[in-house]
Amino acid sequence: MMRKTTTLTTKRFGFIMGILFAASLVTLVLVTFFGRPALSMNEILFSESSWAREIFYYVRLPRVLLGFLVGAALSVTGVNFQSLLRNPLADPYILGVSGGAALGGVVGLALGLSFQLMLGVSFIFALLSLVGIYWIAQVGGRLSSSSLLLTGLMFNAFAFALVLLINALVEIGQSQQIIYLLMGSLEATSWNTVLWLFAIVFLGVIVTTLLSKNLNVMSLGEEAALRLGVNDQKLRKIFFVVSSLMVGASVAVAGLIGFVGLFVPHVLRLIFGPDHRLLIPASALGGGIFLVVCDFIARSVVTSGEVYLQLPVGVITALTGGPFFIFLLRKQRASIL
Amino acid sequence: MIETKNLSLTLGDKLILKEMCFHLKRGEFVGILGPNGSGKTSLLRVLSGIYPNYSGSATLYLIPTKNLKPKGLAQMIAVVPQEEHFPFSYSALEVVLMGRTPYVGFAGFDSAEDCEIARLAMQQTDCWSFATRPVDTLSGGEKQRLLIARALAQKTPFILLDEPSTHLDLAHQQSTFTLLKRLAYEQNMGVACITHEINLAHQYCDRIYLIKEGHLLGGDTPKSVLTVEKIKSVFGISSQMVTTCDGKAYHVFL
Repeated sequence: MMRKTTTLTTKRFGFIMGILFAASLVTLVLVTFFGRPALSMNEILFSESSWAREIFYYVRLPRVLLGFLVGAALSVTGVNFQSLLRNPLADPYILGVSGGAALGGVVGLALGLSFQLMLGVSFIFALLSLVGIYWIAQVGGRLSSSSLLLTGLMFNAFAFALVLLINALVEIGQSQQIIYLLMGSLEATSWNTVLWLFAIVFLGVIVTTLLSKNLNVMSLGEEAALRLGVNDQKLRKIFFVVSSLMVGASVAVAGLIGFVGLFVPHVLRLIFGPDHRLLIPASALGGGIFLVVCDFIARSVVTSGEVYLQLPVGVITALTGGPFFIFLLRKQRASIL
Repeated sequence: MIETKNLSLTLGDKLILKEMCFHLKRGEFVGILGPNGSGKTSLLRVLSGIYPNYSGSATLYLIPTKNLKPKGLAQMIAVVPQEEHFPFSYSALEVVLMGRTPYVGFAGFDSAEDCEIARLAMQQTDCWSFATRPVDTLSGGEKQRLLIARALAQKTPFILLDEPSTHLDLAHQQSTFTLLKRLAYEQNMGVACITHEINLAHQYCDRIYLIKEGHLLGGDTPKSVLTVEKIKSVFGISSQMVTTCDGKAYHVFL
């Protein structure tokens, strides 16, 4: 695909981000009001103490906002990993960082920790997984693509096994929560979790956006970054911590939702090009839109008789993202692996 | 000027550079020649701040290069690597604009000035015609010219090149060496170029260094350094000097 203009001026940036902001708002409004069960705007705004209003404030709105935040966090982290690890197939789920965070979340659940402490444990597990994978995949000082993906595979299997082990040991109520965490779901959320996630994701997206100009040269490798005046090692640490924070928080709240960080950045790269100064903020909004739409489908499409089934959103993202990953692998195998 | 005194470098347990005394002034075009694995690229890496753990001194206007921040160094010394791997399909222009990284402001957007500098750099290296093409569709030679353009966009007083002509056709080899000479003479830049093209180096360079097993030799005019005896001792091949009717000397390898 040939793009017409390839320089990123303030004007082009503002124009594209403006459109994405508008698209985000429209999507948020649409999925909030048109999902199942249907809520009429009349009932919510004008009738006193109706069930619709309760559902709107305590179920629908937090769920939609949470979906947007988690989608933003996973997409931005996906871009970060793809650039820092120089691998277009990198994604928090595939690399096993989400798996590590889920293990942290499960440990937190099993120990009966408070929500904030669970976030902390998830973050630390995500960071340890990321650093571990990065360290293991570096063969002889350079990052090999196949060893990166294989290490991620191993990490996932390992984390999953430990989660199942813990699952076998805890009582049935906690086991239920663990299963939800593994499936990936935006249900059962309170305003408190939404606010916490908002604080973390907002901070993460802002920091990443402000540093995004460096990701362009860092994607060419540590040496190239250094030659172009970017202190790779220092910035890499910041990106790792911020990414782990976002993945840890997302997984602790919404569980394992795969492929968002792979699907969204690639589609946006095809449309806007690979410049990270645009790609990072665009992925935040695009990822938000993608996940709320997936969640909209998850709760509005499959019926059993008259009742709408509430699928976990992870089912929808995996159904779209899985084949997409294979498509990418097939397309890029020659140059990547 | 860039200067090293008794520069030694050990990587792992191998001594790569041995007591090198090198210097590069503005306004001169210096060639660095030597067999594969003799330490040419390592010398460039020390000068561009990538290997900080050397002994001896490597200075830029008497300031040790390890004391300079990456950004400051990138505003003084531009480096053209042998090759570079691009994981994403950046456009050619985007790659050249990355050369402006040491100068971009906090927001990091491309100013009109950046775009103009990138355009001029690409015109100088004959890259402007493929400015919008994705870098993964370019040939090896086109990529090499692009990397030179990116180094020019850095607007540095010094430029170091690592075999910039390996993938180039003969016409672009000549035009690249002509460009490097013009950078030295017209824009008063200090240019050092690693190359295997003995004849081009002989014609275009002001001074020649030879590297043999980590030792730096020569540093004088091509005529006095590129002799049949020295070529034999450094490269291990026999050669003869042939003079064409217009009086230019060429090396012929036997």
